Amino acid sequence: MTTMITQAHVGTDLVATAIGSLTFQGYGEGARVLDELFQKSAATPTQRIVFELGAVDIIDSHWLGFLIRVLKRAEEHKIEVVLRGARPGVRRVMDLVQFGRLFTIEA
Amino acid sequence: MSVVTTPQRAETAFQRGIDSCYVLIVDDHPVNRKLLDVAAQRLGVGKIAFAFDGLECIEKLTAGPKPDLILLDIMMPRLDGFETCKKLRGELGMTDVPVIIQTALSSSQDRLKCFEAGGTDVVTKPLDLQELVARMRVHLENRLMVESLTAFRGRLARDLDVARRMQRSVLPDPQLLTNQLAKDNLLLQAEYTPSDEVGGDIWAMPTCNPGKIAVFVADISGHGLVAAINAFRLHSLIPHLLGLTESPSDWLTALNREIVASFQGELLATAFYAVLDLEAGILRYAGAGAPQPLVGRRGADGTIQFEELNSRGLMLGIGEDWSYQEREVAMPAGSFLFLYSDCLIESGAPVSIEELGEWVAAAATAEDGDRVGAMKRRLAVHSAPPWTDDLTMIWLERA
Repeated sequence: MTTMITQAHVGTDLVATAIGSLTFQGYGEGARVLDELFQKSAATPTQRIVFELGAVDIIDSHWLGFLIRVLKRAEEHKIEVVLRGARPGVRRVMDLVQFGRLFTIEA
Repeated sequence: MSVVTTPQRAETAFQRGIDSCYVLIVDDHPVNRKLLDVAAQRLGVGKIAFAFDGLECIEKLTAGPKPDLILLDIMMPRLDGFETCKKLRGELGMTDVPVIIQTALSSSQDRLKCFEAGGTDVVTKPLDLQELVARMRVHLENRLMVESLTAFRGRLARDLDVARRMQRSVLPDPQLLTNQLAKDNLLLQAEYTPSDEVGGDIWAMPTCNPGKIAVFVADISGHGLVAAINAFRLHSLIPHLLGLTESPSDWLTALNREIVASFQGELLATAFYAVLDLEAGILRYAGAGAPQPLVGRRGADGTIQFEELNSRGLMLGIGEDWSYQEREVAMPAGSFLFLYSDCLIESGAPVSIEELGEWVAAAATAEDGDRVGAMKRRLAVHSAPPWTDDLTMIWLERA
């Protein structure tokens, strides 16, 4: 399944909704999303970047690294990063890399 | 005649310019030949050649260099434009040379016939010089662009191949280790299949004192040359940790510190490090988020009991102050450790830990003894290769 990430502001949340497999096929999408997230957060007051992961079936190590890169840039802008709604398989991977120590995790 | 004002494209991006292009004009009518010649000269093509009809065109194509563009008339003696085009596409295999067909036949059916014969474009007679030059430019620039991209892709493929070989060259060779490990009644099997794009998998067996065996596996975030180079650089850090090889926690903690200092956030990796103490029958290990390894123990009745190892831990390279927790598990004679990269469980439909256990149980009793081969075959059934990520599997078994 291909990767698709759309972004929209909901109040002061910038919500990035991911659909599909966060694996190799979608790597190009990651670079685009990273740039757009911070362009949008600079243009509109943003307190949190929220990744909606409910429609993601797989996440690989590259995309875990991508989320870390988002987190590091968000910290520079004092923006909180939230990972929301991950399915059990994705949640298991996030648990394995202890993302709960770095991100706000929401069910 | 008016001056052609077609916008210039960035020809400098191409490997060569229009002045190096060769155009073959195939037309039996002298006036048309002259007009087409003027159009080609106006574009500044380097070489222009003529063929009187289809047969002479085919002879020229068979004997001489391949043109960059063919201007082809339809109504010609001996062999018409339709048949000529079919022949050069079919018999001569010139599928990539653009062919502009000029025809006095102007119905949509006639034009369709030109495309069906293999034409790239159609211009209608009487010819409009300005339009003809513009079309020739578009087709020549497209050809030069495709040529440049093809060359670039070839270079990239060669570079990736070098990266793939570099990456493989730093991995241990299980064959070379076989004799050494056999003295300790150990069987080591390993599989490393790089993806087409090259991923960032790496594994190693850092040197320990006799009676202890260390194994390390990491999956570096990313693909392509950067991941391969980072894998190479990560491997170069391993000798820095020589005094720590028997303590998984200290080793991973120190490696993480080295990575943060050397790469400053550019290298992130999941990893796992374990030390097998043969005398004690204990496996000590620490994880940095690598897929959960399995330890299998054979019961007296031949059944295999699995234990998933807790490889939870932050990815390497995030922050220098992190430490990695050490855990231990019994690994007596007859047991085995199976390590793998996420390609095994994330190529195609996700593989649950229960399914993986079934695959491993079957591999543990493979008739030919090729454990990792059995795993690879099982993966191929689940998800047809080529896989889009590196596949690494390590099987360490005590007799």
